Amino acid sequence: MLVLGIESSCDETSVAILKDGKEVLANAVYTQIPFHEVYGGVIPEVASRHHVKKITYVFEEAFRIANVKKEDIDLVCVTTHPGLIGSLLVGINAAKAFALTYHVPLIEVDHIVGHIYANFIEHDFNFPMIALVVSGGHTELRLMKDHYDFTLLGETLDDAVGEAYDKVGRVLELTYPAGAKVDKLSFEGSPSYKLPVVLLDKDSYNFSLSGLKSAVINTVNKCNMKGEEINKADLACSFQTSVIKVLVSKTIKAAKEYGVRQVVVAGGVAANKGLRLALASAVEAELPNVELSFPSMKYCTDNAAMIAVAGYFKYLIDKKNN
Amino acid sequence: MKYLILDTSSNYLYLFLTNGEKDYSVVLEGRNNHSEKIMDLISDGLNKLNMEVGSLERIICGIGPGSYTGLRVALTICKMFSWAKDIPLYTISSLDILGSGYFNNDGTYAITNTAKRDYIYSKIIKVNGGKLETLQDDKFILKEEFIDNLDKGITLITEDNYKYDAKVILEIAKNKVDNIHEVEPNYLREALS
Repeated sequence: MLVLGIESSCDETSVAILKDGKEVLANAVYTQIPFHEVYGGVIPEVASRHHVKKITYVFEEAFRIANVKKEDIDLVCVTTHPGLIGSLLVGINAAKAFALTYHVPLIEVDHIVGHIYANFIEHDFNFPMIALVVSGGHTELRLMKDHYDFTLLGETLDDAVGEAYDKVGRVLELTYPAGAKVDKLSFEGSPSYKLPVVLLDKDSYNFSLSGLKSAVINTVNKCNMKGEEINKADLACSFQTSVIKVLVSKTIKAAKEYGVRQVVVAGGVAANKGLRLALASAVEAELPNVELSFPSMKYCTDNAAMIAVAGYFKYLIDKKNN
Repeated sequence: MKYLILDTSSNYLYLFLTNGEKDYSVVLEGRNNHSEKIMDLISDGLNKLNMEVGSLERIICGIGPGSYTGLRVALTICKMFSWAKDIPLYTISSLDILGSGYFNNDGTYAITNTAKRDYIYSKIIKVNGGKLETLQDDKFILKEEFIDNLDKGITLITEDNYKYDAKVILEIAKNKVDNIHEVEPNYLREALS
């Protein structure tokens, strides 16, 4: 079965073609990052304009790379939520138009679920499992007992992890998107600044990152007022250390409580090297029989391959239930 | 000729389909939900006319000015149909579409579409002996300023009296798109303005 995936929820226009929900034949991505960089974040109207201009170009690229015919597509999957509404509408209408033209079923896919299924491209799933979703817009812990059987254990009460990285990156004078730059800088410093590690209630799987972000901003402001020089690498390292402590401790706690066989990390922040190393170390030490998987770098950021995989499994479940 | 016309630039969704013998035409009010309705309407029209997307010989799309989101809805669909089945795509000012029903009669027409706050999108067309002349091209302007400076004898067309004529639209939509991948709406304004 050839599955066409379409993703346009934020600032990436992506079209992918997969065979049987696993083998990626093409994953074309047009990124708008250079256009948003100057504003320090994604401007929704700018994003929507790029999507509509580039949508057919990205389709063309995907079919060229996959070397398949349009009429060979069996299923169309598209991100319908969450995301920027103007951006989403371009992908949704393109998907509907393609599905109508070639009389193929259309599957609506949750963007966050897509990020989780990005792991399935290169790893199998062993249920039950815990999914830690960390991106610019989302921070969640989900328990998965089977395909499309999700229980939300916790989520951020304020800033998403990637959002906090971008805001901290801004005060460290790093350009948008700052996540990878803060991560890289943190390896050049030591955690010499005292910053909070906000774990909330001991039984809670929720996250709160705005206090930590504000602590970084306050530290910078105080240093500026006193005329003291900021050690940016140390501050990046202190921030990253606090974030990772929270993410790792809650993930390990959830994995133990629910006796899972696998932990998967999903979303753009899954590319964070500090998080990868810390989680790998914690899982090895505390959960030796649990498999840990991250998507490869190209599937961490927004892409349509993950939407095609997630949509493929949703289609199979819908078909079975009907 | 088998063709499709789409315009979602205004509070009204306009869809026209024909197989050359029978027509399917829809004018539907609802600024914020064109996206929810449009594909079902196209599908219904194709079914009723016993057509496929691939059997279309021409697609005509209103590319603005108008509602930014609305412009993207129609153009995304038109671009996809055109790309998917290699169908010629023609673009036309949405204001021409909204006033097309008047262009069979001589006169001067000021066609407007509501923009944000106190602004409108406007265009002035003179029709003389069946020939169209653009007196003022698509413009983003204060509504009050536009109305105050309108000459007497010009027929003002707003969303209260839009009239559509598919045959006129087919006749005046001469702008054939060469590169489907580069076509974008005519927003008239910068994204951050």
